[in-house]
Amino acid sequence: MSRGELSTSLPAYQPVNHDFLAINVKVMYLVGQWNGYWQDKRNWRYSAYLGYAVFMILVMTVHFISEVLELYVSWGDFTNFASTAWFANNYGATIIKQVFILAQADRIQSVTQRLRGGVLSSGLRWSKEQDEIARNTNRKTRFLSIAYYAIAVSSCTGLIVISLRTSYRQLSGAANLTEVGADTMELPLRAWFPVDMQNPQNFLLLFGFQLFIVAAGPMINIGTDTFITGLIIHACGEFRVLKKSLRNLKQRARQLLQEDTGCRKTTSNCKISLSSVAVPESTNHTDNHFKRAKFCPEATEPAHENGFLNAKADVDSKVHKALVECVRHHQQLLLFVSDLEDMFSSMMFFQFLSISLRICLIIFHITMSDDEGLVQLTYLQILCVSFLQGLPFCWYGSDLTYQSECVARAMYETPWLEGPLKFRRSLTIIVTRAQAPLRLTGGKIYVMSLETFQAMIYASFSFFKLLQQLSVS
Amino acid sequence: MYKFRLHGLVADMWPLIRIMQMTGFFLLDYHEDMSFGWTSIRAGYAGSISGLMVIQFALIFINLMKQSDDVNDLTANTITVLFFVHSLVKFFYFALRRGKFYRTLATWNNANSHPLFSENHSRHHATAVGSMRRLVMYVGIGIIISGFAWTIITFVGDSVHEIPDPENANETIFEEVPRLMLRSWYPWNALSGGGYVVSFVIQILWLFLALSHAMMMDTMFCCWLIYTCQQLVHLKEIMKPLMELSASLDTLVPHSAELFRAVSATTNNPITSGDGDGIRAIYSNQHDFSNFRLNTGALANINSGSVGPNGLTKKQEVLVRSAIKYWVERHKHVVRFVSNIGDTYGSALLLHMLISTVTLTLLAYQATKIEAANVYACTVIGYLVYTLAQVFLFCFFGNRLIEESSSVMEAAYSCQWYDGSEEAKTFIQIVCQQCQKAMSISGAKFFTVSLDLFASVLGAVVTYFMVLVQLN
Repeated sequence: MSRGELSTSLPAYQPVNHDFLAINVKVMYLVGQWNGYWQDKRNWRYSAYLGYAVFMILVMTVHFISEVLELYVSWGDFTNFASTAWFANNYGATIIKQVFILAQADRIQSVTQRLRGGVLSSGLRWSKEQDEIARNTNRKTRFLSIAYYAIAVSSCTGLIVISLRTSYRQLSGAANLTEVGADTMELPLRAWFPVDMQNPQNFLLLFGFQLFIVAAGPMINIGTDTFITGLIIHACGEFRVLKKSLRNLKQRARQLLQEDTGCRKTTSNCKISLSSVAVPESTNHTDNHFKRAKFCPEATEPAHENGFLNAKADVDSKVHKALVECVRHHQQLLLFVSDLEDMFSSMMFFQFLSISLRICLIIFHITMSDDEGLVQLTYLQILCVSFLQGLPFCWYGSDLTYQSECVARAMYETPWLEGPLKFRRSLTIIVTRAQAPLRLTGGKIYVMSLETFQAMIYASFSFFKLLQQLSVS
Repeated sequence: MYKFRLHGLVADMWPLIRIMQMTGFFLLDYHEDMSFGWTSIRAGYAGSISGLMVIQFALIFINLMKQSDDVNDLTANTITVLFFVHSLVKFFYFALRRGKFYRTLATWNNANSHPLFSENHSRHHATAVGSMRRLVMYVGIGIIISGFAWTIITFVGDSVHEIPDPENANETIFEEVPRLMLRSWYPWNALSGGGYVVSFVIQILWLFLALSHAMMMDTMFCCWLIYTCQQLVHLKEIMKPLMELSASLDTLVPHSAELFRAVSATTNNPITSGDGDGIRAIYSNQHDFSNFRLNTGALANINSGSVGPNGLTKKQEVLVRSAIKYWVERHKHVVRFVSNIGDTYGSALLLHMLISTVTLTLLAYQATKIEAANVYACTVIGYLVYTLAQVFLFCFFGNRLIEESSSVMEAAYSCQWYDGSEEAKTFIQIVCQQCQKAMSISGAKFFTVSLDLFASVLGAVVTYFMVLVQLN
């Protein structure tokens, strides 16, 4: 980029609004977690959707109670106990998530809107590369969500197919019911209802109910998990955008200067000083220390000194303005992350509390029971789901901590050496703030990091040994 | 003549201090009448209560020694002994370290104030006092409920214990023991009649006193932490208006010392009791800004009508600088208070944690022997819940302190400091660097009081329980 091409080299960037977290929001909308009319409470549609959300909670509660009763009834049968306990645990967690999200629906939606067209979306981006980073982040979120949904869908289908396999003969009436050794009809998820479950009509009714549960339950559970993970991933992405802004501070200053002079009617004097001001980064700056020039090369035109000094002050002020933009971005990001922490901390506490138990139960079931083929495959997929319920949070929680600390390092790469005292003082303040690690926690006790995940795996292993001991005795 | 003035922290914590005096702590100060007669009566009262506590505890210990043959009895009695060691330790800890407690209670006797922020401060002060009184009420209710629950459960079930049959060495028979709250040895026959009534009265008195001794000290500690957290919240809230005020301040530094030295002599408040050199050293001068008179002394030289470079009169500039001074001095005062608290109570927390660890290990062992939901299960679970609740109480407030003090930096950063003057930015810079490290209370440097501590204690109990179950 040479001096002559200044006015054409920096194209004006128009910020674009992308539909972030689209797939997550759609899934949440389907199961009653995302009220599209939250801003207009008097609309009848708002109340209708609210009723739908409450209905979903009641349905899940009914199913949860039926599973708990089944656990109570079949106490002592350890192999099936583990899998039923796993499902009961999961549906319990689903109900907790539904209740928490319904309680804070407004706040969650307003915080998400900041990302989808609000303060954090396009207002603070001024170059194509930053936009690229944001879009990549969205792609990552989408990929994770779709992979998680795929595993969940295949395990649910597996459960339904297993149940159909054992029951279709009865349903189609192909077998004589009085035959010795006839299979009993099994529902997809073991549950206890106060009716005769072998009666074909009852069975069909319950089967339909369980079909709905098996479809909707994981949707709520996994939809919520991917939504929260998506928000965390976007926060990490915004930190990357911030780092990029900090590294390209001079470029942004030039852009601002360009916009500024583009508005004013420029005289020839200003034009000369402008071209002497805007220099590519490869210029030799060694003489600057002695001349105390700020962001400018050697003064070559003493005749235009006044104009030149004005231009220097201009550039200084523009660089400071660009820094203030970065500071505002940082402040908004920190506010966003603290909002996430406030909203989801209690939910995450219950999640983390039960993850080690879930992993241990499913491993116990797989090792203790002698299933084969499709059943084994389904339970292996369920094991993957159990891991996925904890791993993305811990992984991206660690990433968030790392990214927030990188901001301090990125500050070091700004042109602070040539900057005025004002710039350096602001820099120390930002670095001090950025060095404080940003942690997301579950109920203030479980920090979302990979160390927590490691601790949970160890805990699940000790639970597993305990269960083994109890089952042997 | 010592003039008794109820002010500062003592006034805020007055109900708690009165309760402590009534339950026999050696809290002999803070009375209207400090004449020798009354002081000796109060000391006698505290002394007799301490005598009662020690004697009954010794009797329980003698009973433990006598029943040390049977493992079950030994474990149960050891748990009881350890449970009540807390009360004795805390009682005598207070008696021996009275001076430090008085010093900590007197820390807030001379606090600064500023006309701009007095409303905010009084609001937070009222919140703090309300929270402290509520905490004392809840803890008091908890103690009363625990005492009554203990008494009631004594009358449920059989009051017996197993001993080997004197005739047949392989069998065990049930021997009757007195139906009392605590298993204790008495030199008189406590099974029935007058002896039983006397023992019962002594025990019920002792039980309530012991429970309150243990909990009231912890409650005092938590009240101090509540007060500190509210002060920190006040400081965080006034940061934003402070920055907005200084947004157009000039970068020139005037001679601040001259400006503040000239206030009339009648406003000088001598420091009466309290921290001595410590607190005095925080404030560069003793002057209360509420008596700030802009027309006296050196300030008369400043033209009150002159306008500075940024449109602020000299008066306004001086006001802003005084506001920053208020903030910094208040923060220093809070830091000094926290270090006083840590100094005073840290060792007590360490002793508490040591004793609780042993108690919880034994309780985990007892819990493995639970077979059905009977009196035994209820008592074991009751002990467990009470011990964990004691640890949770101070861990919760310790954690709050850590969180509030580390969020001061966040509050400083989130205001519009980039628009402020250079002076304001320097202030923010130093505040950010100083508040990077959170203020915390440590148990004599061994551990930090936070919810992590509670989680590790809980985890340890669960681990011991699982290991012991597997060994069974």
